[in-house]
Amino acid sequence: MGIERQLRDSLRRSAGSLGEPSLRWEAVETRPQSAARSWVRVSIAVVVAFSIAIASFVILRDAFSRGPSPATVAPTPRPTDTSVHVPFENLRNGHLYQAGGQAQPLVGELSGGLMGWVSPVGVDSPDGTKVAYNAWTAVAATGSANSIAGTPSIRVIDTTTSSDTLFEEGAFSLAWRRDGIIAYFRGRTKTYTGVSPYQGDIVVRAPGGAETTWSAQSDRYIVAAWAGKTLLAYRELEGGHELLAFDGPGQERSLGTNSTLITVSPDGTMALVFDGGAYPPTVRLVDIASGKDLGSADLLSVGVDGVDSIQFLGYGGDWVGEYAVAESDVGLVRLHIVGVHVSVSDVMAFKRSAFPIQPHEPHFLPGSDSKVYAWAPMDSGNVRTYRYLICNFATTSCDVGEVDTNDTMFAEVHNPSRPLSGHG
Amino acid sequence: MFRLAFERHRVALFRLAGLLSGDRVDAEDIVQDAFLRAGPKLGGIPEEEQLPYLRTVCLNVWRSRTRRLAVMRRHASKRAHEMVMDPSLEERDEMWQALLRLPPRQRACLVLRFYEDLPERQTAEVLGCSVGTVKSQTSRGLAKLRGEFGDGD
Repeated sequence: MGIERQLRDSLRRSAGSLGEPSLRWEAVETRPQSAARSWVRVSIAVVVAFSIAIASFVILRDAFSRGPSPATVAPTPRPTDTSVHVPFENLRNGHLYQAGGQAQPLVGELSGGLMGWVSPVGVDSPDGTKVAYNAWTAVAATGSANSIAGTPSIRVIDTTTSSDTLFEEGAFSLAWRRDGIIAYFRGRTKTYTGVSPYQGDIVVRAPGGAETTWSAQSDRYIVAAWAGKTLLAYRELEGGHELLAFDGPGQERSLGTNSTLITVSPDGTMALVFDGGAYPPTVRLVDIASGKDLGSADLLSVGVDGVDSIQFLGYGGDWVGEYAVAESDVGLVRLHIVGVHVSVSDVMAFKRSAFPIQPHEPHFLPGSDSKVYAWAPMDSGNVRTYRYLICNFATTSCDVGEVDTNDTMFAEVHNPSRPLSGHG
Repeated sequence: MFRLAFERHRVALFRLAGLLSGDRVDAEDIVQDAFLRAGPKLGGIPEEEQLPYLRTVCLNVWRSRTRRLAVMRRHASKRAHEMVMDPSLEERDEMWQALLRLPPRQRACLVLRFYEDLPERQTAEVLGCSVGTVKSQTSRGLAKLRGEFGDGD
């Protein structure tokens, strides 16, 4: 039995010497086809080399064209001012950075892993005075070497007093309604371990502190957004998820299996939902009250030069007037919604040499339905950096800046609930 | 969720792929391809069966890459071989080096049996072959290693 034991010991040692992969979620999440990773590495190398040559701040122009069959045009980076801060509220470097550039340190360690890219890491209150964020406190893992363990928590920063207080321990993902009511997921235990399902309930807490449990039974939920007084959340399934609408305690409806909320209409009565499990991939306009489909658009029917088609629309979009914007596997997509008719209006199809991982969480700049901001991770070996973008669908141009962070985490602060003001 | 499966299993699969390929970069490619291939199907697979399924996909990706690299080597000889060597692993364990010189099927049997600790039946399922084949390939692989390193003790 000697050689078997030698081999076993050797394999254990050798496996350990391999360490951990630098492979990140976005590399398997954002590419619908099995393109070679080596191609991505070469792209990253090219981008990094180019970025060094032109300094840390660039302007990309003519990165895309408009129309029903938009072309993908190679971006032309140009150096420009390096003094501009990230021009939207964000969490990075252990701080909350407001749009004006003011920074406030975070007490908790920022975390987004449990939300699975369907709910924001940082959510601002409807009155703009507070920011709730998801934090994580690691605890020693037991059992499998691959297991993780820690306590997720929701913390709230009051930007008027600079306080950072614990909202709830053993909780993650939240939606903040315009009347101050917060819905969130609370685990049955405070500690999350990767080796067993983290079950819990959806809890709705009024500003005065009164709580109601809205989920009929404990399960794995992720809270996403309010649409009026209906709460949109996900139930995690084995290898997938289900988009749910809660009209009150125990009043649960399904809006689709493997459907992802892109954005809620400004008045909170409709939602744009992407169906990733369906073929062809489709974006649906859903009536929140009835759950019925009002309209839909087949994404495969949209031709994008240089790219086969749009295969994926992601969470974290925005909707202003007749336009909505969403991230996709090819770049930024602007949708046009007229009545109950939804169609793809514009596509900013960035070349992967410019953005190996397509920009995330696009939102319209205040007062505009054509200018958007977004951010994109850039990987080089084990080093991750971030870019922010200000893009204009009307002029087909983007300003791109490098985020000054060496942190592994960058998160935009936004509140996807609608409406955020007014009565009713 | 797919992401949770990725976070849970990526390290284990990376190490399995690394032991088989002997190359860290190759291992990352294998794991990435495996998740891209497996992703759409993970939805219908119970949580406890996801790792065995992903392991099988990884093995399939590795075998198809091995075949492709073999063709490359025939056409480009030394240059292609140099391309796939990971310099950071040059000083790797001698036993592992010997394992990497074994034919792919013997190598896979030994890694699954003695690293993953899979029983013969499960090893056969992952490799898509009979238990008899696993027995014979494991035996031949061990015999070669024994010839090189002795039987220890």
